[in-house]
Amino acid sequence: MKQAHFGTTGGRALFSGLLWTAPWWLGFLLFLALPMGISLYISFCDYPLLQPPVYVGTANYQALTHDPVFHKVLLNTLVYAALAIPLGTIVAVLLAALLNQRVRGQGLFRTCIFVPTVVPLVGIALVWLWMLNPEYGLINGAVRLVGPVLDGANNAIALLTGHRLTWLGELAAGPKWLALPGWAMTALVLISLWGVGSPVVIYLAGLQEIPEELYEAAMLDGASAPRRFWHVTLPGLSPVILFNVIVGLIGTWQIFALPYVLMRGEQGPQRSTYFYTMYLYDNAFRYLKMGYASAMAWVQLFIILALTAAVFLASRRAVYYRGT
Amino acid sequence: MSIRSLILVVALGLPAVGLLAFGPRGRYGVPSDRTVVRYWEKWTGVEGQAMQRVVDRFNATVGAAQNVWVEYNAVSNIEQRTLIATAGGDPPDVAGLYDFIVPQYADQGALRPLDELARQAGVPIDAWKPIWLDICRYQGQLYALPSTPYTIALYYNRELFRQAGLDPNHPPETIAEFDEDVRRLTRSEPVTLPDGTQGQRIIQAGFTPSVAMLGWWPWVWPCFFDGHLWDGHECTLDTPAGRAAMHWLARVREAQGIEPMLAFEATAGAIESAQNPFLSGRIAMVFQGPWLSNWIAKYAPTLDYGVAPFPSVTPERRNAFASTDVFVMPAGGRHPREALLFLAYVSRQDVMEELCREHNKLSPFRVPGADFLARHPNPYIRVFEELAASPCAFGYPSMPMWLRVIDELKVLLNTVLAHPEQADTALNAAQQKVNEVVAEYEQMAAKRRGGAP
Amino acid sequence: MRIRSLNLALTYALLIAVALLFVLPLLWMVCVSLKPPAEVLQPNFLPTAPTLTGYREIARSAQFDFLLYARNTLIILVLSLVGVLLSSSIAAYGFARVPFPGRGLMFAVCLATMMIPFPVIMVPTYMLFKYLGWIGTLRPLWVPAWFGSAFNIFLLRQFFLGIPKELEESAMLDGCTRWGCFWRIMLPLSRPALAVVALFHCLAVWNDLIGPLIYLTHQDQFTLALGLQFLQSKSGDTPWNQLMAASTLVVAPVLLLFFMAQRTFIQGIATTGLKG
Repeated sequence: MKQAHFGTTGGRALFSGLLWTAPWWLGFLLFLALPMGISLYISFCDYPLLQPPVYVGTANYQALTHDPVFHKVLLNTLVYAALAIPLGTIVAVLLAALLNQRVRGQGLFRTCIFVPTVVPLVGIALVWLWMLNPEYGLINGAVRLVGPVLDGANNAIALLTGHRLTWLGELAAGPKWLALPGWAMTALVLISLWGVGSPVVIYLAGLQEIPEELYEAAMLDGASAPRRFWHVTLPGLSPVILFNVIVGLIGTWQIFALPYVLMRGEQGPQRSTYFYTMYLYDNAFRYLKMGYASAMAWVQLFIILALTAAVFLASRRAVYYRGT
Repeated sequence: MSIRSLILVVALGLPAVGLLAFGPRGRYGVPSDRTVVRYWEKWTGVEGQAMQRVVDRFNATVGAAQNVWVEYNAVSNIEQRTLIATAGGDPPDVAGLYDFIVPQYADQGALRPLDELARQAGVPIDAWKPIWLDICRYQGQLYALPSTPYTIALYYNRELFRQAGLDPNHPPETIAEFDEDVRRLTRSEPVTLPDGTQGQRIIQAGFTPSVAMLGWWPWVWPCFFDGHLWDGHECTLDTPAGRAAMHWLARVREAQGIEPMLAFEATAGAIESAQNPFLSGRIAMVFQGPWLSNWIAKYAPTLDYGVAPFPSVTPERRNAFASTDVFVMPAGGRHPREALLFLAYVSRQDVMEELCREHNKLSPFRVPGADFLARHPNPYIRVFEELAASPCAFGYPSMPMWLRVIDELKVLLNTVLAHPEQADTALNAAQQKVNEVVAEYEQMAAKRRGGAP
Repeated sequence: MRIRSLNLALTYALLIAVALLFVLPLLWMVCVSLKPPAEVLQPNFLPTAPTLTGYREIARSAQFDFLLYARNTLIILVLSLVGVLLSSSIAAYGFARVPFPGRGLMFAVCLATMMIPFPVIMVPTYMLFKYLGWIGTLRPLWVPAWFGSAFNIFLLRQFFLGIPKELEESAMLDGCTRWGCFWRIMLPLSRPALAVVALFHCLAVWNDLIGPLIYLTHQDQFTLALGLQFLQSKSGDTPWNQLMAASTLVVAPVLLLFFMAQRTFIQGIATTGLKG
């Protein structure tokens, strides 16, 4: 019966496909399928970890709909992702293009960009606490240098529109970064840009795959450098950009350690730096509500899956695969 | 082979291969003939080293005689690890936790009750100050043994007292005196604010309960107004004491200036450095534990400071916050008898007091050894010990859902500090939220009890 | 000519500015590691009187056994690196080039496994490894690497998709098998991507804290990342200069590896002659 099935063309294709992908699905079945299945079951239970789970139906999912903290962390995470992913992508692509220039010390420059990715988190957190200190921090030192310019701009805006921009005024005076909701989020997004080392490396690898003759052809057509970037580099990089956006989506959604260490284990002013995975972790290991945490995990899975599907669909036209 | 790959091999490959081939193997071996007691602890760094010495001495003496080997295992995320291992049916024999987690674990039946066991093993329970036993009990049962206890007191900067024209030998004894001292110790200067108006900039604050500035116990204030948060069934924030405490916080805040104080608190530097706001003289009074003297000795050795009880609204009631790190025995541990041997050893007065001294904490004993007090690194250790002896000493509320409640209480404090005028509404909101948390917990616990055969 | 050199000067200025910004945490770490204990975490960037005390103390420290932890980390790395490269590239080739019914769905499931947060599968995973008798051994840290990881599979698939199909098609016309195409065409062409996967894997193993924390029970097996935790104290006695000295020692080999290996990302295709 089985053999007969594999005898058909479709069957043979399936067999060959399963064989090639075997490393993945074997590992999935061995190490992931069971834990994931259990966590799905537990999301329908009350499970305080130290006692066996008790089935409670959809109570956890229902409770999510009217939990204000859940709504808060969901919003925070969405805002963070909406800011950090596009900014991170732009910065990483530009940096990769810059680091792809044939200059002396290229390797050294590349290594520098990668530094924040390897330094242990304690070091990162300490250096940012020091840089973001409103009083003696480097950032506010720099801000104060350009403060008069910002103030001037703000005055001009006031003349034109009739009122001053509060945030610009605050920026000119040197904000209390981590102590105010909006600024704390801004600080986190800025710090996230600093961790673009990994995507930059992937983009660099991607840049090497773009055939030189495409650039040469573009040069012959008299295309300027920005045009070459737009019409050759970007399409060539698009499969890798897609990869980085999706991985970035998953990564930003799971932001945890940095805000935790930066805010000294607190949830930030008005819970403004309290993110999805932090709340999930608290539910699982501090509040001992593993069932609730699991429900959050599966909701998260579907949110990211939906966003990923949306990105894939949107990328159909934009992503150009030379191989197909 | 290019020069680069040659360097790669020489600089990284060879050392790696060398390390793999000739590098050190395990050096913390376990003697195979002994019963291994697994002991997981949260202390790392210097505290961890002190405990490691205790374990080593046990293994060399009592352990050797009784054929027991304690395997000491310390990493800083130990709570999570203990939880996972316990849930996975593989808990350690002894775990070093915090007192405020004990009710949560005990209520789930995850800890071994210790009254009988400890007495049999000769743990000197009756020689301890009553508060430490209180803290280690949940619903009348002993579930933990104190390891390194501490109380929290008021550190004050005597030099700043002098500068403000206050008597450096007279720390505040009543709330009114405290308020007056805070007022006189808070100094500010005029500045131009972002919106162009004139404002104040704090250069020195008398006191702040902000978590960023060493106020690590945001829930504690009602207790100095003779209140308590938990009666065993209900969490009561909205009491006369609770309201009085919130109004007091709001009052002090408004007197200091709300916006200037928020700006001031945002500049908190690294705690473990001379940037520490108390060490740098930017805060005149802080509510802190005995270990603060470690930092003072290290980063500001010339600081002229004193330590006094934090004032209570009723001065003759000496309310004092006490807390302790604890040892527990998870219910599924494999070698309870051997584990108790170890706990009895650690609880010996000489062993325990040496550990506590090295951690710069208190002794759990009613009468601390003369040596303990004389050689203690904190010059004011007696003040802390007296606070622990106060009949009005109190610990964390013994609530199994405490970790959820504390997160709400942090929000409450932050709201009061940022918007003192909303103190009452914030208190009501927090009370409602906490009620929901308690009700939800009780409901599930009842369901479990009903569901059990 | 003048425009060109202006361009070049601008490029350098930009590169130097950006590099300084990014290298700051490392500089800061090194500076703290060179400070005397009383001065650490002070706002001054440079140590007033640089000293090697931190390094000397860490070398003698009973708390942080650098060589032992480095060896353990290396063992995990060596045992898992080959596995992760082989298994991920094979599976990625399957997803990129072998058409079969249900491939899209299977790939979606593969991606979805990246989206499930680790905290909720920690306990079941622990139970699984306990059932296998792997708790307290290095096995949970390297065996799963032999079954590919979603991240690497996805990364390699994207790269494989970018390689022109004609190369394989003509090879297959010449009688090359699928495996031959994969082994003799795809893999050599994907050297930059494989180098990236290898680098990321090294990094992941080097920095992994949560895995060793949960699965290792004995100090003899500890890794560098876990060992760094030993130096941090809860009540204010963290020897920051030692911690930063240890961190510098831990980071240095990774940065050196990166510096040496980054050229692979450039070389890859240029040398395999795809250009022609």
